[in-house]
This record gives sequence, C-alpha cells and structure tokens, in this order.
Amino acid sequence: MSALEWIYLAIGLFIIYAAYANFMDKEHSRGPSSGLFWLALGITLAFGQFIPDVINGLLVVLLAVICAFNAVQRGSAKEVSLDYRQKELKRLGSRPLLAVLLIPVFAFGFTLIDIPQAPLVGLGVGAIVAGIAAILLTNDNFGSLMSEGRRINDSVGWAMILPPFLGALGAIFNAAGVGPVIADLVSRVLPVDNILGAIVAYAVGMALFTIIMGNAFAAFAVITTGIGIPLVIVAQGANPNIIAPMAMTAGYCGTLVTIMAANFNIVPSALLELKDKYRVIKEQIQVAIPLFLIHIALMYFFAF
Amino acid sequence: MDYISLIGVVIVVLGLAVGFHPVPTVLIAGLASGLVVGLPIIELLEIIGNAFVANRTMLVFVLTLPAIGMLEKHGLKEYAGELILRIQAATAGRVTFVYFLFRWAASILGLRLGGHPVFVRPIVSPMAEGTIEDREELETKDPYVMERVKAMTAASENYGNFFGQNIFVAAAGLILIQGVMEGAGYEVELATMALYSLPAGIACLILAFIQFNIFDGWLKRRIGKGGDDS
Repeated sequence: MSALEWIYLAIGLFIIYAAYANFMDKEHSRGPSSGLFWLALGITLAFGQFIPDVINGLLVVLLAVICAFNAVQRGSAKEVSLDYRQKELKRLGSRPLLAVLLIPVFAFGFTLIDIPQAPLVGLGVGAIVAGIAAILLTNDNFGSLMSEGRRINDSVGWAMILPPFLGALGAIFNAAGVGPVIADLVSRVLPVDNILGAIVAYAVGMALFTIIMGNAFAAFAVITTGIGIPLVIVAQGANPNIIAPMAMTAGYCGTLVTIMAANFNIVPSALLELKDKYRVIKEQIQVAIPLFLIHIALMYFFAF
Repeated sequence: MDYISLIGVVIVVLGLAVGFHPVPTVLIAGLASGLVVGLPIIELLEIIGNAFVANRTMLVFVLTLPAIGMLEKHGLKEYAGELILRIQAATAGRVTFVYFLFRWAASILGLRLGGHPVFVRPIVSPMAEGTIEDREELETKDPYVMERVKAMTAASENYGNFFGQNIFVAAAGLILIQGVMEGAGYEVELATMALYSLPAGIACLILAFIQFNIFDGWLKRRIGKGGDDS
C-alpha cells in the first residue's frame, strides 16, 4: 500500500467509528440510517482500492438513497459548555493553537520529501501528530479525541460526500461527451470571427464548463482544444503563453459560483455550520462576476 | 453533436433550483446522461465507483477533524477570539482581508496548508466573530449577520488559494496547461505563464479589498458596531 492509502485507511476507520457512535446513540432519532451512511462511506474510504468498482458504485448509490430520505442527521454529541472552554482557555492559553499549527507544518514539510501526493500525505500525518499532541498538551484521552471528531463529522454530515460524488458525476459527463457539446454550443452562439468574440467564447466556455464540472482543470483540456486553440490562438493569433493561464483563472471564476465545487463552497459552509449551505457562493458571486469581466479585458490587452 | 447528453446538466440545474437534495439529484443526472448516450448501467456503476474512490483525495481533510474538535473543546476558538481583541483596529472585514493576504502569499510560494478545516473554522472565523461585540445575542436576534461574517472568511480562503496558486512557477494548474498545450503542438513556458497569472491575482486582491470594506460598512450600519469607530 502507498503512504496515501494508509492515510485513507485511517480516515475510513475514523468514519467507521463515527458510524458505530451513531448506531449506539440512543438519543439519535435517525441513528440507524445515519450509522449505515457512515458505515458505507467508511468502507469505500478504507478499503475502496480492494473492492471491485461495481461494488463501490453500489455503495455510492446507497449513500445517495439514504440522502434522498433525508436520513443522515447529526446525533446527540454536543459541544462542551462555554464555561468549560473559558476555563480551559485560562489553563492552556496558546497551546491548542500551537498544536493546530503542526498540521500545516507537516503538510509543508512533506512537500520536501519525494513521495507521490506528498502534501496530502503530509496533511494526513500532520493531522495524526496534532491529535497526539492535543492529547498530551491537554491531558485529555483518546476517547475524547474520537468523540470530538465525531461531533464535527456529524455536523458536516452528508455534505462531506459531495466532492468525490461530484467527481464521479464529472467522470460520467466525460464518458457521455458533454465537454465537446458545450464547446460546440458556445462557439455557435457567440460571434467568434473577431478577437473580442473569440476571447469571450473561450472565457465563457471555461467558466461555464467549470460551473458544470466543478473543476477548471477538467474544463481546460476540453475547452482549449474545442475553442481556445482553433478560434483564439490559430484564427486570431493570441499568444498561448498569455491566453492559456488567463483562461485557466477565468475558469476559477466559475469555481467560485458553483455548488459542483463542493469541496471549496459547500463543505466549508457545513464546517462553519451555516444554516444556508449556499451562503459562501452568494458572497463569492460579488467578486466572481467583476473578476470574470476583468479577465476578458486582460486577455484582450495582453494576449495580442 | 450529441446534445441529448446535456440532459444531465439540465437535471442538475432544475433539481437544485426546485430544492431537491443535491446528492440524489446529482446521481440521477449522471445516470440519465450516461443512459441516453447508451452506456450500460453496469458500466455506469463502475465509472461512479472508480471515480468516487479516485477522488478520496478530497476527503483527506476529514482526518484533521478529531484534532480540531478536541482542541476546540480545550478553548482553541476562544483563544483566537481573545487574540484579536488585543488589536484595537480589528474589524471583521479587516481580519478577513489579512487572512486573504496570508493565504494569497502562501499560494504564491506554493504552500498548501490545509484550508477551511485547519485555518478557517478553528482560527480565522473565531477571530472575525471576535471583533463583533454581543455576538452571542446576535446569533439569536439577527443570525444573518454572523452567517455572513463566517461565509466571508470561507470566501477569503478560496480567493487567496485560487488567484495566488498559478503565480507559483511549479503550480499544478500551469503544469496541466503545459501538458495540454504540448499535446496540441505549442511550447509554453511555466515562468512566463506564472508572470501572466499575476494581473488576475492583483485584480482579485483589489476586489477582495473592496468587498471586505463594503462588508465592514454594511456591518456597521446593521449593528452599529464592528466597523471603524474613528
């Protein structure tokens, strides 16, 4: 197993613990269905690489069916009282902050090591080290580490599976050939025989396909091959060194406004326990629209 | 061109617009798009299972939750909130902008630090919330205010991450561009592309500055506090 697969195993075991805690939670109105959800997720996370694709696919369908009945709910795990936390603040001061900072230190430190996916492995190792440091610094115990983790895990809830789930949707869209259709549609609708029209088609294509796929990287190859190269670089003579990176960040403007980029937009809303899961997107739209228009201007003035 | 494959896109847009649960909506959309172009159901299940497992990268953050949760139990958020009170000029918008600058600079240096679970939830959001007096009362009286404060901190992480990362010469995004362009027969330079990612980065910096300032003004009008008192 690769280093990252050991990290996945640890994540999966933590999620299976969360499943157990939900099953055992007597005050949880949706304990069994929530537990089943976390159990299915934990299995795909811990052991996904050993399981046939079709079984993983069925487990993913099971996750969606449980969600369809709104049957994933948070359990009875509550945050400790403000009084307790204030007391701990007086006792421990800055020490919890120092323990958190171990996570980015490891994430960065691992980038210096030559293993595949080093920053992700570093993030995972940092998380484990921070957990051990947290136990030592606070004189608390492992059980509390797990139950506090489960508390946040419950509050994130089903939103947690959206990022890999949307990755799966993207894979189907790719297999079904949605990308070339979008490229074709954009270049038919917009007047692409002048510089401005061609740039707008490229930028709109990037943003639009990113909004659909939730991922500008996936959009780049499709839209650059379908619109960028034939209509902007070949037909209008744009400098590829300049137009290509600007097209990429034009795509990022799309990332800011789409629920398909759940890891950036929806999971953070869940982590911050916002009532409106789309609140982050609603704030980001205010920057994304002017920033997208600026991209078109930048392409026009720099790339020719 | 197989326009019928867009059925999945239509289902996602309509489903979310009428408020269906996103997870089953997305599943139905994917199955619809795949089935109309003639992919067999078994193959679709294989694609879904394979892609889900391949995208576990996006769940590595989950392993930080136990440590974050336990440190929160022992006063981490309260410490962050207290720290910010020592700075007289701190407002929610300014805290958020300073974090943007930190995140943007880290991105430009190629650092990936853990984002929303590691910084925003336990540190930056409590700091921004800490600049607002009577926030406990506000949570019940006008919860929309605290929702916006928290959402702004999440947005600043994304702005800094997205529009800083390609200014770093070895950015994954630039390497991907190079691969695609080379495949099409065009030589592109990582350093030149990093340089031309800078104008968009600066534009984002200016827009973020404006947004967070407008937000401070809004906060001040809404609650009479949290803005600049001078």
